[in-house]
Amino acid sequence: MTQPMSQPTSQPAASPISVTEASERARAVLDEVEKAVVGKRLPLTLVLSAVLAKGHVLLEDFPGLGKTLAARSLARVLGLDFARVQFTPDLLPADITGSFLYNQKDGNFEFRRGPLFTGLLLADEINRTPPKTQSALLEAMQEHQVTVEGETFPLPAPFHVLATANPIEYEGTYPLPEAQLDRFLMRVSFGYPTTQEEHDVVTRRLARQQEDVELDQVTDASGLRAMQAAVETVTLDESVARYCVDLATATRDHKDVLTGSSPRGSLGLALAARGFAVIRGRDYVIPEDVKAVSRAVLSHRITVKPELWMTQASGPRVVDAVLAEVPTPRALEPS
Amino acid sequence: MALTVLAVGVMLLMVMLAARSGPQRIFAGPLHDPNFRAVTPSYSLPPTPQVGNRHGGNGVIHGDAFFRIVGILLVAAFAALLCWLVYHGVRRLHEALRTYRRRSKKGSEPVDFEVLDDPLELREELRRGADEQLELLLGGTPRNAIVACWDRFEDYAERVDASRKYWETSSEFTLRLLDLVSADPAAVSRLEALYREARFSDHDIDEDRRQAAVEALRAIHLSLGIGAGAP
Repeated sequence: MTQPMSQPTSQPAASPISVTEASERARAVLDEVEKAVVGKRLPLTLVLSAVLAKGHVLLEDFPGLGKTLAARSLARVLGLDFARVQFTPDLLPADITGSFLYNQKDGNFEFRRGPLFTGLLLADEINRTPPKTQSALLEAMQEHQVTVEGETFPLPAPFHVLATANPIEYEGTYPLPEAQLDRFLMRVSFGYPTTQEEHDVVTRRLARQQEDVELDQVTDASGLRAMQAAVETVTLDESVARYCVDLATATRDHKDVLTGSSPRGSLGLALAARGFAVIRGRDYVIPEDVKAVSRAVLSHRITVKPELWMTQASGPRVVDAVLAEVPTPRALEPS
Repeated sequence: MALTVLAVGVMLLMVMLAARSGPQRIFAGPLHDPNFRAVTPSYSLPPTPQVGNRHGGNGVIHGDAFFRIVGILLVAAFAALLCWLVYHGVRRLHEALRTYRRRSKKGSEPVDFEVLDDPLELREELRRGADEQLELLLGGTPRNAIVACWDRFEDYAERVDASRKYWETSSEFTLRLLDLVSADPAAVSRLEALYREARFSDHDIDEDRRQAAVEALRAIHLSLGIGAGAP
């Protein structure tokens, strides 16, 4: 069910790096991951933007499209400890957080850490486990700590969750409620590859004569923390910040929407756009960055009216409609 | 909404038909067994003093008047529903006609980018405003000058009825315009980067940046056949 992991929770201070350095390192990470995940530069860029913005990502896609491979490759290239938990109906909160076990030698109860104590956690098929276990994970994502029997244990930094969910086969699943979906900075879909990309996958596999792809580590946990610190220095012009807020609020007024994005959506847009800007080599955000991340950041925070379930109405469509409605910052602000 | 109203209408119609056909066929169904007479309401009973009593002495329902009233109420409800549907249908039709008339009257108001099938007009507009645009770029602080210079492209586009959609960013719009008139893509890219930096960053925008913008603008003009050395 889980893989062994070991990581100390103490983190040495990250040496500061410039945005240019962070950008180069981010691009190197993407280039390396692309050796394993073929032709998915944009979804991978979005996932890395979320990681740089210290967020968590929900990967929702059909089976076999490289979700697990992408998570594993990212963990390898970013130099993070990796743990994978297969979320099953019988999984208990203690299975992921850890629990106190009796040590017969000392006669004490010792805390045995669960797979949450890692750098990058792949929560596979998160919607197959009951809400109790889901909320244990989501609490840890939010608080960056775990409390067991009144004792609090901080999680390592960086700590990121890449959760996967299957958009089909809903039988026996526990779909994440809106309040919990909101905790994910982004929901990203990889989608099917093009014929050429798929052919490329086959050719590469045959050429390397083994299943595993050898990837080089580009950075480590400390390096990632430094990159995240660099993202914090990125400038967000006031007009662009207002654009983020306008997009999020516009989702609340759309005719197909029951519940629009929360203020966490506006914040998510601003943070993710900063991560995206760094990957694009800028230390300032432009409206195009916000547009690029808006679908991934907002669509899962939107609940469509229940009477429209048989129509084409959906979160991504609402975001597209909102992007075609909300005015962008002008070159010259009206005086 | 319309689907819900239709479903309610169909249900009302079914209930109405059921009510009109009376209780015998609904509650008992047709009798196939000629020997079975127990549930057939007896109309041959001698009249009883309790005229208003809807239940016969043998427990059989005699509800003709009741069902007639229910039927009338249902017909009235159905008629009201029909009126509501007709009213809304007519209103929708009226609105659609009004929108259609407004659109056909205004003609070219929803200006899409496709109207610029002939980029010559825009090219001519750019040629006319080239000196003015360069002057803008040379005056004021470098940051404001670069932004104003870029914004001027939007103004030229507006003059040839190709105004920017409010949801389009300035860069998206201007890049498409300049691509349409086959401006030097490298120079456009340089000027766009300078505009973005001047508009959205807090970097120091110095005279070197202004000079770079002037060179990029001249290269754009040159590629459009404007200015000294133009073909």
